[in-house]
Amino acid sequence: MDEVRDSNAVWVSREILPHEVSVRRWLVSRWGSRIDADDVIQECYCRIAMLASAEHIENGRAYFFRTAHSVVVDSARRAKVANGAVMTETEWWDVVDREPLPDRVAEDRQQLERVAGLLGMLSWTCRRVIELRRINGLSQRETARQLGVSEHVVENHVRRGLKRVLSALAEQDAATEAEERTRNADS
Amino acid sequence: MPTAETTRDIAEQAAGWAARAAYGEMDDDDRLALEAWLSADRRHRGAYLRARAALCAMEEAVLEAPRETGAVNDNLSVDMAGRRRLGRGARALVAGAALAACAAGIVLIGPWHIPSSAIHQPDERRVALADGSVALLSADAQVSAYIDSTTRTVVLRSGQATFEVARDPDRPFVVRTGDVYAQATGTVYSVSKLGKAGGEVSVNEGTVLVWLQGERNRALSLRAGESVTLSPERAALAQPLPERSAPVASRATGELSFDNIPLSAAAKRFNAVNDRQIVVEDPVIAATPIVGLFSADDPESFARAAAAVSGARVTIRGDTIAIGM
Repeated sequence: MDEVRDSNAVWVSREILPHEVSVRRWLVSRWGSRIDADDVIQECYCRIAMLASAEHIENGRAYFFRTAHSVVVDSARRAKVANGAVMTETEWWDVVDREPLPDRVAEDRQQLERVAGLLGMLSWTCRRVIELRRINGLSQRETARQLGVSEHVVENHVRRGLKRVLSALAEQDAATEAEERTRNADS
Repeated sequence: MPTAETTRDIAEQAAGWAARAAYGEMDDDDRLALEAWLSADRRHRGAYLRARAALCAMEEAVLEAPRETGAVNDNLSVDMAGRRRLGRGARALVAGAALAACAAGIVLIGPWHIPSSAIHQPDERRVALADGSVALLSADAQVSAYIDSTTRTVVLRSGQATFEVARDPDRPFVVRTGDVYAQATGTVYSVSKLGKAGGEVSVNEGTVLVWLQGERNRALSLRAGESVTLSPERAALAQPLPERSAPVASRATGELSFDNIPLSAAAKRFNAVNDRQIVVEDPVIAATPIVGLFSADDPESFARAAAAVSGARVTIRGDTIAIGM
């Protein structure tokens, strides 16, 4: 596998993925139904995927917000619905700066809980496969032999675990959005 | 909402590809199919990156977690039984250190200048592993040990660690840091984490096999006095290097060094690695500053030396070494 791309995936897992919830929340609270937050997030990952390397990006969180912002701006321009819905750069920086500190603390806690929850979503075999491959450095074949299953089964366990994690991430986002809408409606 | 469904479909497909690329067998046809899928829709590339990132997060979560799967829940623990089954070579090293420490077994009081090269890192920890091996950890070292009846694996997440590996040809002792693996059956070697995925391995004794994730068939064999720095980015440059200027052997020989710390704190460090426990009975004596280098597995000699300088007496009661008036 391409090593540069692989290190990008590691970087994204640490610097981008954990902020998906807050970016989505921000998109929804800012633009509501005028945009599709899923599409914007999707497009953010596309743009990040096109980077040759992420090494030059110091703050993944800020980068994610900035990318999401420019995705919205670009699509608004294309759709020519720019009448007041698009923020200026100044407005944008205000948003980032105004984010209160306690929110970040809460977010870190949520993130920790999510990692714990992440483990709960994986089958015993899936966890064992990851341990054998990544801790013990065994090959695919050795891993399958050690677990007494076929190589196909090894792959299936990982795929199922990953699907569960991805859809849980989306559902959690959806729950957060719903909560956000309720809160906005209340106020 | 059709868009949401599509997004989810794409995410599922991406999960399938990410799992296969990292944990499955990809033949040339599969690689072509993956390329075709990625090119079919520009959103696929983004979804694929997201899936691979989530897979990385899963791996990190598994690696960070205490091993809970099956009967291999044997995390790093201080071995209170104290009796270590060291390999012959390692035992000889420890014995040598004990002799040296006895010969120079003096406790000095008060401010005393020690050349920094002669002392250990202030917070270096010596930890006995369940298999009888011993790890000497730098202050910033973070490790987990996974030891069961067939494997011995230590993950070094940061810092540096030196291992005196108990000889056991049936259970290879593997240290992993980032993408670097170092394996031995019974020897003394150090591993340092470098960057996100790289590592440095130095061998003090015996032979150690070093390889990068997934490249075990291209492992390097290092002998005593050799060291190597490996990282995925610089894999092609990896070469065994000649002897480093400062041999690290003494770091693994089981000494505790104290640079003007209270006797009570020094005793605590002995107690952490021995089952014979030192008890300091008098608060004034407990505050006596201690400077010096001592053999970690000889708490009694340390206690006697410490008592001598503080005007106290040592009383042995079973496994307790009491220092009092």
